[in-house]
Amino acid sequence: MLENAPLEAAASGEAEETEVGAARQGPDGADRVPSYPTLVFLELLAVLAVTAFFVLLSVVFDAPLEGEANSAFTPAVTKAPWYFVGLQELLVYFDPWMAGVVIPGLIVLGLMSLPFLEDSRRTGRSPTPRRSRRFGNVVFTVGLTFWFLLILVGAWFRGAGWRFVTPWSAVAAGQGQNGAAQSWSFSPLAGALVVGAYLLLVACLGWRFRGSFLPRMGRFRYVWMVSLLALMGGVFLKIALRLLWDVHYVVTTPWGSM
Amino acid sequence: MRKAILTSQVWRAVFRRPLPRSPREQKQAARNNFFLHLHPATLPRQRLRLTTTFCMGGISFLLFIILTVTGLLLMFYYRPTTAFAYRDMKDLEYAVTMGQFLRNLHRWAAHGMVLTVIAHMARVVYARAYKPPREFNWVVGVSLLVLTLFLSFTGYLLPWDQLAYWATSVGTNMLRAMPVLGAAGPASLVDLNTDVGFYFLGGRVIGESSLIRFYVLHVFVLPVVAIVLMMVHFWRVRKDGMLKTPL
Repeated sequence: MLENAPLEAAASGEAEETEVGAARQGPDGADRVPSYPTLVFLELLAVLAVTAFFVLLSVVFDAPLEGEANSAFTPAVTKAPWYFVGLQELLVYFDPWMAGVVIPGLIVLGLMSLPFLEDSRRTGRSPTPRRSRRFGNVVFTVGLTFWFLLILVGAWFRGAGWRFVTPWSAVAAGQGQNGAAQSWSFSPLAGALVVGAYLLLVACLGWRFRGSFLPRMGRFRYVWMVSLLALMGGVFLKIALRLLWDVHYVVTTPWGSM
Repeated sequence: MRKAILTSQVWRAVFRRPLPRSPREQKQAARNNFFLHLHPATLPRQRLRLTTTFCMGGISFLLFIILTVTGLLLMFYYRPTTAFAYRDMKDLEYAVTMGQFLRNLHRWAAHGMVLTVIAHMARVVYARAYKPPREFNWVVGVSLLVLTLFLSFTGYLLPWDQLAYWATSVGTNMLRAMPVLGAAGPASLVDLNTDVGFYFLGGRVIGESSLIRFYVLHVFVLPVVAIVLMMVHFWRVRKDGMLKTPL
């Protein structure tokens, strides 16, 4: 209840309009300070510190500039800007339409739907239960860590032909292992069975753990959340299949494979 | 003399009031000044703590301003054509006063902004600051994250060096693989001359028309959209009662 007090005060119309005096007991029990000068000067300090940091950075380190663009000369390894290297690294495990379009698109949609997965009209503004809060933290942390892990691997552990190299053995570049050479794919029947088994497992787990979510979220949101988690788990599983057993495609269709 | 200036009609027309002294004037200061009016008149003291937000949203905005200023200055020296783009980079390096510094600042601030926007997002998640009534503002925020990435990506091509050219080709090849709308994607309904990659690049491969398209997106279209969304974002932060007190 405590957390919503200032919020409701703001909603009910400009709580501060009625306040007189510098430090007054606020609605949430904290003493209040005027934005000017306290907050404004702290902001100024932050602005100066950050600006100084980036000015120093720019004095010391030069932005990279290579030779002029030449479409006729392909470098040994071409890498996307670092924030997209994670997606490029996913290309090892998925076709471009999955790694570059479907997976990032669903990540963005999933992020946008976060607030709608946590609260419903039934519970309104009540605090998230501790257990589902921890669950949310774990999922988000795993996702974010994994994203940066992919970036690290893509940026530092990939050499010519996107083969695995270590940054400290530049000599070995080009001699690393390339999984694509010996990889194999499931037959259509085996692929359908594996995907079917995975979806069945997801459905069973969804049914097993519905208790703490379903009443709070309603059917539609729960199915959407389980789908997003299934996608996340599916990406992890596919990466594991590829790394452990060199599986290229689980499902092969004439339109697209994954 | 000082008094004459401070009490002149011109000075008073610009600065209506002297610097605030009393608590009451301090509160009015935040409310009556255009540049300060995003702040509430007062706020709980505990929210001044650095660990409440780590300033990540504010730093992202500051970096956006730094990028706008340095970007504007770079525009004076940069011509988005394949004949001149790379030459102008070299000019910035060797001929323009502080040119290299300008480009460095623009580059590092851009990388910094991507990082701070991601950190800002993570902070909001862990504080559950997207809960009602802030759901819509969270969606605006995620859109701003995507815009930040696209702004950074469109800027990546502009130096027209090998790094820029091939990094961009990695990105646009993925676009080509879009289902239905990409020529190389599954269930494709289009060919290389009509797919989404063609419209983005203005051709089948990265060239003259790609450079001008990325440039216009980078210096006008995306920043304008970002500014509009930022205005909504800040306005809603304020309307939704500023910061959520962390649990």
